[in-house]
Amino acid sequence: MQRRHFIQSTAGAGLALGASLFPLAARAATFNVIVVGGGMAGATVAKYIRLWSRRELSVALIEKDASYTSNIMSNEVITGKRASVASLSYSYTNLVNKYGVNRIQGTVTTIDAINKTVTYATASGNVVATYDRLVLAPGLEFDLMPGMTSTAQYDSTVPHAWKAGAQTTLLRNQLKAMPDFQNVVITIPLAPYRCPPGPYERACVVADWLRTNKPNAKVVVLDANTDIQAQKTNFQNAFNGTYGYRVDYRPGCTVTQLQLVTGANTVQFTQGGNPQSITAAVLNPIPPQRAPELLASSGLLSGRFAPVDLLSYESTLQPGIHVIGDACISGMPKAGHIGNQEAKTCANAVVNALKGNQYALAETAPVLNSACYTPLTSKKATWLSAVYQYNNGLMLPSTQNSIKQPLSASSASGDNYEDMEKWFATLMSDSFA
Amino acid sequence: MNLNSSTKWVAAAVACLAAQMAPAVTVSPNSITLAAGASTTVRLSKVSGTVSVSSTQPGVSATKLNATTYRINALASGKSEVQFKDQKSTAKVTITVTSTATEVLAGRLLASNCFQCHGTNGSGGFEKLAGKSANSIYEELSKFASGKEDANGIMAAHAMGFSDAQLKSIATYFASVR
Repeated sequence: MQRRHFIQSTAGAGLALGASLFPLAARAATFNVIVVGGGMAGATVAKYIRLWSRRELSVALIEKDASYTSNIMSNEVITGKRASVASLSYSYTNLVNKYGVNRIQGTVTTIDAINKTVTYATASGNVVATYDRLVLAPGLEFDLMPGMTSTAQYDSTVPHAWKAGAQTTLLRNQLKAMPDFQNVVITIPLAPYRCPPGPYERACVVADWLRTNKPNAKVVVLDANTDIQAQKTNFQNAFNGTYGYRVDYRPGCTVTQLQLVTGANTVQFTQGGNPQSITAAVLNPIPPQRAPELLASSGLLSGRFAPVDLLSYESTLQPGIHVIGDACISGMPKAGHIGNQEAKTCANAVVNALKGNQYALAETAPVLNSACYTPLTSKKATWLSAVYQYNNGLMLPSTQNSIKQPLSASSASGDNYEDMEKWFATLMSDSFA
Repeated sequence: MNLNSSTKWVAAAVACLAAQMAPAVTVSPNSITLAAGASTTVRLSKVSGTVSVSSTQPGVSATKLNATTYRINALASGKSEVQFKDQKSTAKVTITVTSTATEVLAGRLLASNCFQCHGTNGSGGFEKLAGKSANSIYEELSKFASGKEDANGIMAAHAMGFSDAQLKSIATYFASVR
């Protein structure tokens, strides 16, 4: 078979000579498929294009970070149930060693859709690589909240911790340091945002932690949406029953101004048109989210996200470029399990396009089956399941068997908590191992 | 006794006796393995009167070519029994239809919805599915989809969102994994 990858254009002279002759960008390599972004969707698409093309398509995975930190389960780092974010770290070693993915550590700066190239910055300079198909799995960027001047304030003072990492640890440390009798304020943006049940889950597990550690403190949830966005009954039962005064859930709240003072932040907001203000010893603003700037500058967005053909996740604006995961418009929740399955639909389409029906059949009616588990305490969890069927260009909740999707667990249980850990481990293996 | 009706009675009794004494219908061969999409012929012997044909599963059909020859058509993977019933007895052929490469490929993306909890290609997780028989996987999924098993559990929630044909296709894929 014809492996086309890694044709080094600067040849034996090496990169030093190449860099001096072409100071702006060295043309390094050509791949059948370049994947940008090594999260749930990006890792999965790289793995499955290799698997389903019987290793005949060369795949490069360009990701700026050395490893991936899972957002799923990261609320357990905030409460100390998990020791550290390091326990949520996933390397790209298996993708390289087991599946033959070419791992490139770098930051993609430009996409040339006409010439089918990407330019990426590495420690040793800019490099240009060419592709037959480009798959973007870039995750999200976060808006500044009103009153903020820099995203660095999320890293130093008011962590959103909606991308797991150092901010997750900072939020953990702020909770430990706060005095009793104070407020933890969590703000939720208008949907769509990453992981619909996530903010409510966070409110629950933080309240559970406060019960033991700061028994007179409470969690105030300022939700821009007019109602709970997922598993409404289970969260209502938790807020009203399990946690009582410890969770103060306020729907329909628009944040108008944040005043950032470590340990004594002020949140100004309106609820039903009435201006109000609250003090937060710990402030966890979950900001509005959008596809990264690279996609905007590449002409891939309509509004905040990328419109795609849901049979292949190919952009409807730029041919040959696919967008999967949280950055695309799929009509389905932005979540890791869903990103994993979007990646498989995309991988199937890419393999079909480049290798034909012997390798992958063109899909005309994909199904996406989503599952997620949600801890409501440190020992009990619920689940949420939704099956989406392709229908006239959209992925819509299935109406098979006259069942109204999505479906959720009837209540939180210890069995569900155990299942959650197995689900998480298997999901991460399917994506990274 | 009316002579005419008596004659009719004797004729009927003789016919009945003849049918009872006639040897049972047989079919050859009586066990066949076919790939989906393929067909073959079977022959009947010792036929008494008219024959009616039926198949226990829709994945196999039979077409009459002449009084004693039938074509067996394998439509979709699975096991079926084709029955030839004449006036006296029934002959049966067991048909095993193996899945084609296309059938397997058609189920792969659907089945990949299970990998997040059952491992890549059904290798493990909550339960290993790779290499189990298509029938056993399909029957289990059908029980979940109809609410006959753990109706409030997460597997029922999943299975209820798929069509019957989709569940069969998923089962075909996992059965093919070696």
